[in-house]
Amino acid sequence: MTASQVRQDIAHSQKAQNNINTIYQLVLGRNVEPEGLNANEDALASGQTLNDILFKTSHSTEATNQVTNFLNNTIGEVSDDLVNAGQTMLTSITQAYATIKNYTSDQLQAAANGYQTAFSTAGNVLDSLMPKTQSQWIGLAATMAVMVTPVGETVAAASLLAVGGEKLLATALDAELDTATVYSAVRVSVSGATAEASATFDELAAFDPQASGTTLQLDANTTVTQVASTKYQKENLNFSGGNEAAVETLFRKLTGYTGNLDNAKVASFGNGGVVYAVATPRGVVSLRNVSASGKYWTIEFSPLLSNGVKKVKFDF
Amino acid sequence: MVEYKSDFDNFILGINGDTGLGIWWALGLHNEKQMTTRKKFLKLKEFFEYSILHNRIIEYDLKNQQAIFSGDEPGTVFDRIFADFPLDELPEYDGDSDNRFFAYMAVKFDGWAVLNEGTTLCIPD
Repeated sequence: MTASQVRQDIAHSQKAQNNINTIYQLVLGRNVEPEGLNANEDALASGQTLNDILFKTSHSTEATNQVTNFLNNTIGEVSDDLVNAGQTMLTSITQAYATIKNYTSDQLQAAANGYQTAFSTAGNVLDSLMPKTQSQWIGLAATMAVMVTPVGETVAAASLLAVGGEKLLATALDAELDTATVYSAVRVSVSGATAEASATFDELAAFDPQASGTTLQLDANTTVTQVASTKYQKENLNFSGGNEAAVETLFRKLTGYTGNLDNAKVASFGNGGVVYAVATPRGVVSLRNVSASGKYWTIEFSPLLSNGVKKVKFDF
Repeated sequence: MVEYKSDFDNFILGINGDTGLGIWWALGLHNEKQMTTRKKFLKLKEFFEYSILHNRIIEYDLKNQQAIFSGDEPGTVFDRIFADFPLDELPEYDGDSDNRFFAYMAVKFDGWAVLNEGTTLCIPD
C-alpha cells in the first residue's frame, strides 16, 4: 500500500468523518451534510489537515453569518474586527474541545474551577476577553461544558456539541462574564474637596473604633449602629444596619462625586462583586461589596482618618 | 516608603485584616513616584519575607480556613501567595495607579493571615 492510499483510507475513515462532524457541530451548530463531508474528506486526502478544515469552516459564509447574528443580538455592534474575533473564538474553542473531549467529569470540573480571567472594558470587547493561552482556552471550554450541563447530570464535554455556532459564542461570552474580573481603564477623580466631604470625614474621625452603640446617619432615612472593633483591628469602624443605597450615599458624601456611580467602577466580578474608587484631593476612597467574609460593604481610605481608621464596614 | 522595622509590632497591628491594597498603602508604596512598579512589588515581597520570618504573617488557605506550614522559604511563600499578581501587565512606573492593579489588590484576601500574640489570626477582609 502506498502513502497516498494510506492517506485516502484515513481521510475516508469513520474517525475522520466524526472529527469533521464535530467541527461542523461546534462551529455551525449542525451536522455536516453529505456534500460537505465528501468535500472535506477529499481535502484531507489531498493533504489538508483538520485545522485547515476548521479554519475554512469558521471563515465560511455560514459561520460568518452566525458570528454576525451573535454580534447583533448580544454585543449590539458589528465590525470586521469583531467578526474576526468571533471567528477566532469559534476556532479556538473547537481546538480546545479536542483536548477536553476525553476529560472525565472531575477533570472538567477542575479545569473550570481553575479558570479565571481579567479584561478591560476598553477596546474590542471580544478581543479583550479572549483567552491568551492554550491552557486558558481549555479552561474556558471546560467552564462552558459545566455551564451547559443540566443540573444533576454528569458534566461531559459532549454537552458542548449540543450548543454550537452562534449559541456557542453567546455561551462563551456568558462564561467569560461569569468568571472574569472586568476592570475599567479609567479612574474617576474629583478635583475640589467639598465642605460636605470634609464634614463627613470629621464625623467619622470622631468615632472611637473600640466603642459600640453610637449611631451614624447615612442618609435621611438610614441610621446605622456602631459595633466595637476588636483590640487587633482598631483601624476598622464597624456598623450594623443600613443598605446598599445608603452606603453609596455616604461614599458620595466622602468623595464629593456626583456622577453616575458606574463610571467610578474600577472592577466587577462574575459573582456580582464590585469595587468603586474615586481619587479625591484628600486621597483615594474606595467602596466594595466584596470581602473574605462575604457579608460586608467596605469603604476604605488612603490616607487614614485622624483617629487611625482606614476602613468602615457595614453589615446589613 | 514607611520604615516598618523600627516599630514592627505597631505596624503589624495596623495591617491586621488588610487586603493587599491596604498593606500596599500602609507601606506607602503608592507615594514612591520614582520607584518602578517592579521595585515596589519587590519591596512588598521584602515586607512579607520579614513578617513571615518573624512569625507575624503566616500562609493561610482561605477556602479551607487553615494555616499552612509548608517549611518553604518566606520568599517562596510570598511567590505562591502573589503568583497571579499582574506585574507584567502594569506600566513600568506608577503601576499602582492602574485600575488593573486596583482590581487585583483591593480584593486580594487569600493566601495569608496575621498572627497576633501567638493566639489570634486576623484574616484579610
